[in-house]
Amino acid sequence: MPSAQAPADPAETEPGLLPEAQTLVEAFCQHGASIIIGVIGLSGRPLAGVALGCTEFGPHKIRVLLSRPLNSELLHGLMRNSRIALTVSEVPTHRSIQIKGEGAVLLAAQAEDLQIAKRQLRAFRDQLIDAEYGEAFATAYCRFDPAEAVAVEFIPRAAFTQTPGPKAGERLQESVR
Amino acid sequence: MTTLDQIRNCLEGVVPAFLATSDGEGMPNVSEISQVHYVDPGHVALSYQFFNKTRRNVLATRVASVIVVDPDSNAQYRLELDFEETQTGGPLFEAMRAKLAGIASHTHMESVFRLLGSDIYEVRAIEPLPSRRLEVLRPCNPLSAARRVAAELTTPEEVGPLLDRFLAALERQMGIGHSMVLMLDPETGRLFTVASHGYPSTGIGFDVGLGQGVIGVAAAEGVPIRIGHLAADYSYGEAVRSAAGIDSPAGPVTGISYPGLEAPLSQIALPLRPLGETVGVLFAESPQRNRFGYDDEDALQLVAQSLGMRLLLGRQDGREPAAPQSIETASSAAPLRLRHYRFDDTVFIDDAYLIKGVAGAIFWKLATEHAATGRTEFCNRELRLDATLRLPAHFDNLESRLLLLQRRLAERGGGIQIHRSGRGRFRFDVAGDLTLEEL
Repeated sequence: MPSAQAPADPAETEPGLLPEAQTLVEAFCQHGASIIIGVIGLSGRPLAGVALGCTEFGPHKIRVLLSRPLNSELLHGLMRNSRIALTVSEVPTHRSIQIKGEGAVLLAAQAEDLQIAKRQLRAFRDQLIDAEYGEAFATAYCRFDPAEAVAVEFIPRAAFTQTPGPKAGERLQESVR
Repeated sequence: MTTLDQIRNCLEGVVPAFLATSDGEGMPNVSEISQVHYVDPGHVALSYQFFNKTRRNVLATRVASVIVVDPDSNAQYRLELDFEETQTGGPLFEAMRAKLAGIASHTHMESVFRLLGSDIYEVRAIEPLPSRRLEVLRPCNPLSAARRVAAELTTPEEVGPLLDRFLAALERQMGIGHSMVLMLDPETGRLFTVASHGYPSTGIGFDVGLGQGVIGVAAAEGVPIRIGHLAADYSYGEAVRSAAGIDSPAGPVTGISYPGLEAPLSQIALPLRPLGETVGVLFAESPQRNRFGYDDEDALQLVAQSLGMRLLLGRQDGREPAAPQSIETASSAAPLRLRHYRFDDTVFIDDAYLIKGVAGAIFWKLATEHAATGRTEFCNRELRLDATLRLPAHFDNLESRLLLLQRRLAERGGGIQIHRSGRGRFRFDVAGDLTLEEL
């Protein structure tokens, strides 16, 4: 995962993708975050999905890990319509960032992906326990089978604040000024 | 095929749901949402709190997808939804508003979550998602327990003891240790406690305004209201009292203390609606979070309906069962001093507040007549015909007022008691002399 200080080339970066988005999402994932995705299914209707981890988050490329059985319909849809929405939420504060992207491709999960996802899920499990969801539930919810994992890479185009409240949906650029 | 009724536990708002929508150009949007509410076997309602991108997408495309998670078993489902309409008031809206307040409290989002509308969706499909399932053992079958509680209402007993036995049965059969029955006074728009169970003080006579808190809203809207995350860390004088609908000052002279728990986490209020008209509320609470689920709500609403019908039967003059009783009224050497305030019919016995309103007027009539003539036998009908009591002609609620008066006197345990003596008749038993003062 690139460092929060990695310089972004302004010429190649969309206006919404500020370094702040990188910093926030990396921090959320490191401390344990809920990661969900939205795509357009084969029927043309939206589909919600759950990701295991965000293993790379750069100004030009975002890589997330998904469970294939849990998201089979969603992955089929993604092959036809490569536009994707990704929301990362910090459990204790509900602070959330949504990234809209395109050009999503399905890739095999690499060993490094699995290591990162395992670490993020362990932190997420701890966050759920702290939020009083119970150890049994948190453990079951964060369980994943590495053999079932698949990676999705896409090009980020815009970032939005998604923290619950009247400002949810504003471009991140506007909300941090 | 998975049905919505099978997955209602996912719709308690314990685990956030994940909602995907898309705009008119096919760009998806995904966000966590706090509430997916069960409406009926074919519909859910989502809370509309802000006019944001999700809302604009739904209005533009009228389709959505939501993932819901069972907080006990970790079962997960994806629901395919078609938007139908938004409701901004009424029973469903109020039930969702109360539940959302609980969710907000639990997630420390009280200042952010405010329900603007209930968005109704038709559920087109439910897809079970693979997940690690946990075994869930339910402590009891709510339907079976409801049947046993309702059976307690079939005895020809006086209403007061019947209510006590009914609430005790709720604990025995359903494990509900803290409960109350409140009756509605339509004239004043207030609900007054006539029975309670599991509290240090009975609180009989304590009243709640129609529309206030879970009790008042349940009565006003005629719909069960429940809350699963009432904030324990709020001060007793604020959240708990407010949530129970007791934020109006009780006043210095009539302050019957709220009998409820100081720090409940779950509350449920079920309207008693025999023949479709609200006459009271069955209220229960627990120090346990999410104590009352959809199945408990259904089971309790069934017993509340039985209770409502039983109370209605008790109101019918001529149907009230004869209940001869051994009369035990404490004798008093000194005269009992009664004071009556004409402007609101408040009555004090020996400087201790007893009752007010129409029930106070009834008491004063009985006391003055007894003091003048020594009479002890009275009947409901003569009270109904007494214009000075100002009972409404349409729906006088006399039996509830008499029940409240009887229970207040019994709780006080002094030298004045009311006992049923037959069908539509009662005895006004006084041990000793009365001194009356009217102001």
